This record gives sequence, C-alpha cells and structure tokens, in this order.
Amino acid sequence: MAKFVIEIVHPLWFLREYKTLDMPVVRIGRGFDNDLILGDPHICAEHLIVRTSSDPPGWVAQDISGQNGMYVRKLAKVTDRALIQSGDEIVIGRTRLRFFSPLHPVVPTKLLVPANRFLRTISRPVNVCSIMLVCIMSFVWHVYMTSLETISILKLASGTLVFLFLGVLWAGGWAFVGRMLKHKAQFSVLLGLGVIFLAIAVPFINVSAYLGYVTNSLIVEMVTAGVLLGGACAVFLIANLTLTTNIAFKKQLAVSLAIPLVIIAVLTLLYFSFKDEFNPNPVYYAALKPPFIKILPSQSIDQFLVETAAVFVFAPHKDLSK
Amino acid sequence: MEIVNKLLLFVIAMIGAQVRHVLGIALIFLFATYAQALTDEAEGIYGFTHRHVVQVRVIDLATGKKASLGSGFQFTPDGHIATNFHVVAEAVQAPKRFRVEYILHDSRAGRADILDVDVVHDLAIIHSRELPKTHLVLGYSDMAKGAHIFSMGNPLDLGMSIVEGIYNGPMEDSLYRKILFSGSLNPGMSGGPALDREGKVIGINVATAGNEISFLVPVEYLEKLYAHVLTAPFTAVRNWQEYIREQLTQNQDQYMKRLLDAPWDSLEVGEANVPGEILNIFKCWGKSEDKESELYHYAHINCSTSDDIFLSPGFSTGQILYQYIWVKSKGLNSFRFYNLYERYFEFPNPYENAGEDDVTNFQCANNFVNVGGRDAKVLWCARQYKKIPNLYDINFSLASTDRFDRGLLVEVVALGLSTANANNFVRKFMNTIQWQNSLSK
Repeated sequence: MAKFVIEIVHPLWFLREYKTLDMPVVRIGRGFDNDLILGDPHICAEHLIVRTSSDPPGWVAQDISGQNGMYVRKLAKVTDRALIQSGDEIVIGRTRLRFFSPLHPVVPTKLLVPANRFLRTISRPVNVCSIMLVCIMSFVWHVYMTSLETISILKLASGTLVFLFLGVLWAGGWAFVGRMLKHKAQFSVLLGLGVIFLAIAVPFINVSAYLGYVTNSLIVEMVTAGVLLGGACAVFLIANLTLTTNIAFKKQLAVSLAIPLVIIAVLTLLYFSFKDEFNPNPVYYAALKPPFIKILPSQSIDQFLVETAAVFVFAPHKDLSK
Repeated sequence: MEIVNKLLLFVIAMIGAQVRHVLGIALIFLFATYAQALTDEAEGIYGFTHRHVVQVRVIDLATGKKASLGSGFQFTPDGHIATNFHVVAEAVQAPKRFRVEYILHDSRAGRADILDVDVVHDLAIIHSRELPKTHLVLGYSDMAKGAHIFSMGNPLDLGMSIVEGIYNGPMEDSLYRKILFSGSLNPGMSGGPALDREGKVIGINVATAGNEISFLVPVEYLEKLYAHVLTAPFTAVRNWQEYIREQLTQNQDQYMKRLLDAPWDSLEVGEANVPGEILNIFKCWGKSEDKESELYHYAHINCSTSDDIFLSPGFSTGQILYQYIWVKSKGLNSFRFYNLYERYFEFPNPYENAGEDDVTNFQCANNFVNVGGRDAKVLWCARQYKKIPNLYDINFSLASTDRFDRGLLVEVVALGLSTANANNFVRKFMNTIQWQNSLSK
C-alpha cells in the first residue's frame, strides 16, 4: 500500500484540498525541497517526514522541525515520532492533515432534500403574484381601518409601501444567502414568504389586542402577541432556511425557535433596563373596542370601588429623611 | 331759514368744541393733582411703615448662601414676623439643612425661629427676640371694592419697594378666600404686607397671575394663626411633617365635605348630563371642533379649581380638575371610530405637581362598570404621598363603550385626598352621570 491520500484542511476550515501521493517517504514543509509544500507560516521549512509502514499498517510521522512540533489525534504535542492510522488527523502549525489509505471506507452519499411541496406550490410565478396581491389588499385594509380621515386610494396604496419595502429587504438578504449556498436566489418566492409573514402579523396583532380587551388584561394581550408572532416568525424562518440552505430540519427548528426567543428576551431586557423608576403619570390599560367585542358583564359602581380598593394599598417605603 | 339754521348749528358746534377743549384741559389738570396726591400718599405710608417690613431669607447651611427669598413684616411688639409658608418651606421641611434670617431696613440681620405655619393659606409666623418694639397694626380685609391699597416687599432682592394698586374684593369662587389685588406683585415680595391708606395691614402678598392680577391672603387668617401661636406652648423643634399632615388631612376633609354635601350642577355634554361647575369653585372651559376633512365631531370641556397648596419646591397639592370629551363619528365605521376613541383615552392628563421624593408611582386597576345604565370602561389609579401616607393623588378615567359611533370620555384628577374622600368623590361623580332619556337603554 504505497498509494495514499492526504486531506489538507487549511486554517480557514472550509477550504480543503486532497493530494494523492505514491511514494514510500513523503517530506512535508514550507521549503522547496519538500514533496508537499504548505504555505502556513507556522510550519518550518522542513517540518515532517512521513514513512509508510506495513506492520501495523499505516504511517510513521517524524517531526524534524524541533520547534513547533505536531499534534496527533488532538492529543498533546509530539516532537519526535508518532504512528498514524488511516483517518487520523495531525496538526502542524495551523494546518490539519488527514491521512487516508485507498481501503478507507467512504461515507455514504447525503441525499439532496426534495423541495417541500408547499414551497414548490407557492414558488410558481402565478401563485407568487396572487399572494402579493392578497397581501397588499390586506395591508390596504389595515391602513384604512386605522386611519381617521377620508383618504384616497393612492394614499392608501402608498401606506402599504412600508410593508412591501420591509418584505423586499428581507427577501433580498435571504436571496443572497441562497445564491451563495445553493446557487439559487429564488427572490420571488422569498418575497412572497416575507409578505405573507407581514400580512399574517397584522391580523395576529389585532387578534391579541381583541383577546386582551375581552379578558381585560394586558398580560393576555402581550402573551398572545408573543406566542402568535413568535410562532409565525419561527415557521417563516424554517421556510427561509429550507429554501436557501442545506441544513437539517432539526437544526432549522432550533435556529428558528431560538431567534424569536432571543428577540423577545432582548426586548424584555431593554424594557426593564430603560424603564424609569419613577413615572409621574399613571400607566393603564386603556384599550377600547366596539361594543360587540365586550363579553364580560359590567360591575356596579360600588362593586367596582370595593374590588379596586387595592390601588390605595402601598408597600411601606423607607423614609429617606431619617 | 335754512341758511340761518345752518349758521346756528355751526355756532353751536364751535361753542361745543371750545367747551370740550376747556373740559379736557380741566380734566388733565385734575388728574395731575390727583396723581400727585396718590404719590404723596404712597410716600407717606412708606415713610412710617418701611421700618417694620423685613426681608426674609432662607440660608442653605451647606453653602452659606440664600436658597430662597421673600418679605415679611413685624406685627407684634414681641418680635413676631409674618411671612408666607412658601418662603420658609425649605426650612420647615429640612430644618437641619436650612436656617431662616431676617434683614431690617437698616441692613441689620438676625436669626429667626419658625413658630407656626398654615400651609393651606400659605402663612408662617417666625420670631426673633432682637427686634424693636414698634410694629405694623393689623386691620381688616373687608373694604370697599376699588379702594386704593399699597403693597410692600423686596422684589427680586432689588430693595424695599411700595406698589400701589386697587382692592378688588375677596374672590367669591375660591376654595380658600383670597383677595384680588390689581397691582404688580413680583417674586421676592411674597410675605410682605398689603396696607390700607391708614397703614394698617389688610392682607399678605402671596401670588400673582401676571398683568397686575395679584392675590393677597386676608389678614384674618394671620390673626387666627397668631391666636394658635399664643395658645400652643412654644416648642423650638416641632414635628413639622406630622403638623403639616394634620393640616392637610383636616383641610381636605373640610372641603370634600363641602363638595360632597352640595347639590351638583349639571352640564350637558353630547348625550350625557355630567357634573358641571360644582359649588362655583370650579371654572369650566370648552371648545369643540368639526372640521370638514375629519370624520368626527369633537367637544372638550375642562373644569378646574384655581387653588393649589404649595408644600415644597416642585411639590403642590389640593388641585382638582375634571374634563369631558364627547366624540361622535361622522362616517367612520365602528372599528375605525374606536381606534380614534382609544387615542383620546390613552393619555392621562400630565402630572407635574410632584417628584420622585414626594410621591410613589401610580397603581391602577380597570374594569367595565355600569354607569347610569350604560356600560363604561373605568380606569382607577392612585399614588401615595411618601411623607403623608394617608393622602393620595388620584386619576379616574371613564369611557362609555356601548355606542358604535359616539362616546363620552371623563377624566378626574384630584390631588391630596384621603382614601375615603377619593372613593366618595368618584362614587358621587359616577352616580351623577345621567344619559339623556331618548337614548338610554
């Protein structure tokens, strides 16, 4: 077994190259007299001599640099010689070398994941167009419902431009990632997805506001909004990752759940770190919705005043003047 | 005949013009002598009273410099000086950090002790044994409207001055009786005396609203406070916090009793009848808007008292105000209307009467309440005074929520009430709100 393969993993770990060698003794180093010349500045001019050995089958690597040495199988520094088997890794300088004999088993091929049927469906140009149209209509509806004046259709449409612009930015970013990793930008699908997400976010925010109003609790509103928007964001991220990267579903799930959670955590942290200790004005839940939204029965005046007596109960505070 | 007539008319006109001319000269002359007389009068009064008027200073012990400045006057042979509470408030609140000094007309200075205060009427009596025996004489605040009176003090530390003005009677619609003085009071004159033509004290300078609108505390409150000084045993170090707490608690009990016992005036706002100018001490202002470009009508009424009680710099209490907003849609659908309605409801009237050292944060509760047979959302908030834990600032907001396209918003802000009074006031407020019959459910 004289023929063997060296895998060279450069300090930039994603750059690998393979050298097939067919000689009993291989000299490795940075100088001109070597069989394998490496450009790593941490490697000596003559660094390593590798001899093929038959018993046990493998190679014997000998360090001749006397300076930086080598690291075998991620163990401690070796400065003389080490026995290497097929598949073992040695590190010289910042470069990693792996030795393979022709008998080394090859890992089975990873199969390409066929595109999700849903994503395939919405990628059709007709569907992308109709999705955009529906979403724009929903934005227009939202702008109309929150406006307080008679506004022209042109003004309404321009109100939706903000949403579209956000969608374009987002899709552009992911399209770049897709172009790099999968050689496929798929901008229109990504834009469609982004617009769907924004179009869903609007009713979700409204749903949580109404739910909060019905239960008369700000906490319900915040939690519902967090869960709905966080969930939608996770699903949306999974779709983006599937389209633009090759990572496994488990990893996709982890990443897409982590991102909304981190956003929520950071916002909560920011809220508490920038919240003033003293607020001269009352902070209350002043939501108002049309009469038919109200479900809970009204209290009588006396009942209300009795039940809210707690607003006058304060924890005793330190008297700073003493 | 016509010519004769015209001639006659001409002659009459000429004579008339002459007479007017002569009359004008006479009037100017009269006015000049009158003004001369007044100036002389001020001069005379200044001459025999200015020795009893002092400048009152509060000295910050840490820096040795004056922290606040006012005027005062000696009104007993025993060395009692009257001034405003707000002049010496810092020394009352933190006696260890401040000291009170007076400066006589001849620049002699001396230390004074605070004997008694009346925070509600903004009066204080300070005392020094080293003062001369002569003093100003207290008179009566009851005078004829239009009388000339004179106010003395040391404006902006520029030197003792006398200001001439007109007595315009007690303000009838004020919670705490004050005299309206049409003359210019300036910062630094607070605590100085207002004198009648005989040089007797009728009131104490207290506040100004600019443009010759100034206010005096009637001298009777000073007499009352002095009577209290005479009956109460002299204690050099009083527990002022406790003393002020008692005064404020008593005062709010008194005026809330007056408010709650009185029949309340009714005011029509949109489709509702709501409390109007209660007891005439509240003044209401209103405005409305109905723009073509906007899809709603809007009417706003706000009512408030003009009385507030100064406690320390940046901290006052005693104000009550309430406001109504009636909003009616002109073509907005219900969802759009309620978006607008919520915007008016969201933001409370800004509170600027107290700071972090004086009050806690607000605590709030809210629910749907049946007010006069209609559903309303009610927000109910209170914050406690840190040094006066039985008094609270409250905020009560109400929005009717049973109409698709119209609604009434109410906000009540009351400062410095006890729990019971706050509850009773708000209860009566809600009970007084009535809806017009044709539309009530």
